[in-house]
Amino acid sequence: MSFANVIRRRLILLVFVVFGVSLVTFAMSHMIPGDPARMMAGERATNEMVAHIRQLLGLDRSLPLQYIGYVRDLLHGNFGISIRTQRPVLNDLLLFFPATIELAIAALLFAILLGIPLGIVSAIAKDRAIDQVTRTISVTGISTPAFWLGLLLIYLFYGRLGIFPGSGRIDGAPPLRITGLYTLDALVTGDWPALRSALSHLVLPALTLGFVHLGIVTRQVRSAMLEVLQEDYVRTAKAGGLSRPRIILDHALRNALIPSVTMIGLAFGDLLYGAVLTETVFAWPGMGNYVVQSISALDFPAIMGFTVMASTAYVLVNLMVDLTYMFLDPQIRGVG
Amino acid sequence: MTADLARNVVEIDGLTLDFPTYRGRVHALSDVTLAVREGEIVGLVGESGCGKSVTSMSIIRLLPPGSTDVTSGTIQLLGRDVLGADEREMEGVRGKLVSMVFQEPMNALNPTIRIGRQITQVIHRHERVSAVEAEERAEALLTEMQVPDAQRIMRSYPFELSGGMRQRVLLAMAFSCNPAVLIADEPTTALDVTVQAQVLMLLKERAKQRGTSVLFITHDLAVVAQLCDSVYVMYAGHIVEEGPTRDVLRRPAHPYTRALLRSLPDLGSPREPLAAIAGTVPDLANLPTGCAFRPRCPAAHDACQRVPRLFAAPGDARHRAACWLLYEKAGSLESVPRVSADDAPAVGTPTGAPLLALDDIAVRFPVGFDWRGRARGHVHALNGIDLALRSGETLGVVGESGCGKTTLAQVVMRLLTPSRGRIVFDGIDLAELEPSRLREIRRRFQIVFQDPQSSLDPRMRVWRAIVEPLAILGKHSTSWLREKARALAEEVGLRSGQLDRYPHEFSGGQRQRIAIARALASGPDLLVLDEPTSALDVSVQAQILNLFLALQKRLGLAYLFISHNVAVVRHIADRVAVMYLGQIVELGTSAQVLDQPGHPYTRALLASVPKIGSNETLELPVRSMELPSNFHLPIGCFFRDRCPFAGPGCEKPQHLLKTERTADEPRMVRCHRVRALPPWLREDPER
Repeated sequence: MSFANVIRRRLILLVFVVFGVSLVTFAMSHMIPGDPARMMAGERATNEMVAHIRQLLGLDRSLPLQYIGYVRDLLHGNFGISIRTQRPVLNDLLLFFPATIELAIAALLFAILLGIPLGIVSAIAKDRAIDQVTRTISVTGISTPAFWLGLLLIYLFYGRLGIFPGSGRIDGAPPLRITGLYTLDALVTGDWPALRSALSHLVLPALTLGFVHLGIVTRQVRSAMLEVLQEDYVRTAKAGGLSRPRIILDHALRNALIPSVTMIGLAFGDLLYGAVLTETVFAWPGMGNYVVQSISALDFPAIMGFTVMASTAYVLVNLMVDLTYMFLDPQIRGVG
Repeated sequence: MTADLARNVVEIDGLTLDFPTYRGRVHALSDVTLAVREGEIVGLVGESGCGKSVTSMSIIRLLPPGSTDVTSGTIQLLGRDVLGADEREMEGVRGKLVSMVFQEPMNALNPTIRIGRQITQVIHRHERVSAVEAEERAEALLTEMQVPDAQRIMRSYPFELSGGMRQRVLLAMAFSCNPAVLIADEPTTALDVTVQAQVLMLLKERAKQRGTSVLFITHDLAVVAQLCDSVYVMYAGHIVEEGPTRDVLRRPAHPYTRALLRSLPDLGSPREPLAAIAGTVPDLANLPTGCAFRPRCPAAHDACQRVPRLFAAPGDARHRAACWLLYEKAGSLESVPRVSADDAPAVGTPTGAPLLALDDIAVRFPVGFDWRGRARGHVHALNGIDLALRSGETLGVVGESGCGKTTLAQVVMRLLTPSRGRIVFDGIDLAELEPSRLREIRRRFQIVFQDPQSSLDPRMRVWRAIVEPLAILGKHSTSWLREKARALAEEVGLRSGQLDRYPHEFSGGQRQRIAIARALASGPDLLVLDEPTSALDVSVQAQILNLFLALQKRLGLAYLFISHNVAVVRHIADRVAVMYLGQIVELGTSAQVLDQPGHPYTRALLASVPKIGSNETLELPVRSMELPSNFHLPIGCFFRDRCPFAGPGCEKPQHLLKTERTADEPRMVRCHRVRALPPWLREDPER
């Protein structure tokens, strides 16, 4: 199966996933008791006013009609108007979503780039001091609540040491908007002061959010490495006289990464939801806060918009996971 | 032989090695002394756990560092000390001076690296050559190892190659830097016999051409007979016998070697109980004092409480064995009593209507689904099988991997529904039975699998495992079930005191007895035996085969005995069916089929089986080495592309033809040219 083939299949799948997720979300959010029209109208509103608002929002139509209308608008790129903020949902999403994505990617990179080497070192030095230390770190990571870690980091690095800022995404003007990811935009436009500032703001939240996954990645890579190092082909390589670093990096690592990749894909979904707490602690202007408020206001268009965006991002990340798989494992590629 | 003048390439002297474990020191090797001379092929033979692999791995220090403790002895490679060398020095030795080929070719190559790079990596490690040079050399090596289309294979990944092909790649890798010694650890054990024959011949030829010494580790005495100049026999970490292969195999001096040779089923004496070695290999953490074989030895006496050294044995001066009998000059080794077998031979005289009849059974498995869930193609596992089995009879099914033997077992057990055809058991068509009736009739046919380790629930006490079929079939009191388990255990030769234990506390042979007891629990008429002795050592295999023969005699069971091992099938079966690519190519009594094979495939199969005492030359029995795919079945005779006798007419589909009729046993061969083929010349064993 070629790379292009996989990409095509995944994009077709994306349509079905987004459709399915939106249908389920739509049904569920309408099952929650409560009336957004009445909430919007306020406590003293008359029944007529509520009915009027309901009509304005299109809530008086039957559910299937509402859904069909929503999908039709969506196909035209129209996410609807937020009940709560009265702005187009798309604007809100474009404002908040990139912040969350940036945070999730940074956290994931932190977990992968540190977790893989730690896992390797830990496996090679199995049961020695460095392995014990690494395993302690990973267990701590898995068992520490994110909000507590966040507060600790703020206290230490912002409050006491003053090395990193403790809240917000950037000081001063944000860089010219291209993707909405400040670090990427600053890099592309060459806005170095903005890049510095964005990066320093990113450090503590990314550490907080990524720490759990650092632990998971480290453990996973460690156990996969230990398993692969027992394989017959590692013995073959050793019997051929290859040096230990060569065997570890060339023969073992690639095979050990294959099971880890799946987990990293799943982790990304986790990071998107997990961001809510971290964003609150660091006053990070991301989706977390926005979604929580939208849910309590029963802001259907906003909830739906977020869901559609998140599921799209999730499918795309898993597409990347599949492509990584194919890169690592020739059998999946089915090369001839 | 001028070997006396040749220098020793490998010299192990008095090596004693322990594995420190939580339950004490495991004495893996005790005072092992061994030498491999320049250009010599040396066999190191023994059953599992005897220390043969540990010995070979120690030579290039491949055992995990820190796991072993060498208490005495030295290892020298071309005069260099191995045990004292540092790791960097050893890296320079591995693959350059000594290279190694292992048992499982399927796992021995890295699945994510192209074949070419895996070979050139080793070349680059030891020699300063350009990338192009290394590639050319790798390609030439592959061609030398009879890999067709080497250029393409260089760019392939391991999963694209068959087991035999991978082993050739590993040989190419092993020969790549012209090592002085090649250590081959059971390199052909995982391969089919026809492929094994080719790989062994290749290994021998190339080693002799290049003057490479070989240390060949195996459990198979017949392979040693065909390949090795001299042999060391190991038992429980000790070398018990050594000498030129012919002397050791013809005039074995140690009681263990003698017993091992006698426990081999050979093509000569069918259905006689085999001389199994009583008991099991001792626990290496808790070796008996004195001679390690003492507890199992029929000739053990007072002197055996001290460890014997190697004494000269009759014949060649280099033939020595570690047995006090030789020292005592009893000379009466012949007086060593034969290990008695419990029952007289059963002569199968099966009669009556068939107990089991298969009529045109076909099984195909869908593969590769399109988006509507429809199969893109099929693997044709069975292609029209007709068979009949009468009560009290043993029908052997032989064939190589992928021929459909196991699928056949599953179809008979009704674990798999055939795509076509009928299965009639005792006059009842199983396909038409409703589930409740099928459940009831299932008690009358049971199965024993190859690997008793994985076929028994590790968390179920043994007595429960044995009577589980009964507990499922009806409500019984615990005391009744326990009593039943005791009786069944006794039937298969297990001590009833052990029945409260768990499967892992038993040895492989005992576990297989448990599996047999379990199969007998429901009082079956038919046992399907799917490679029941293939995972066992030969001495234990002999015990189990004897048990099968005795049980059949006592209980009148019918066996469908499936095996890749021709000698075992010849030993136990009344009639034999030879399978190839999902078809029966030959069917008849064991004597007809295995002594006078008609079909060219049966001939190739028999010619490939290594035999003790046959002359050393191996000849290539088939033209091409790869089994055709059962995804795209060949047109006409399935064996045509590999058949040395193929000619006009073979492009048409072949049918089973009756070739002769003795009593009421028809003999069938699926070959239209069978009468025109040259007569089969059976090599007479010299023994």
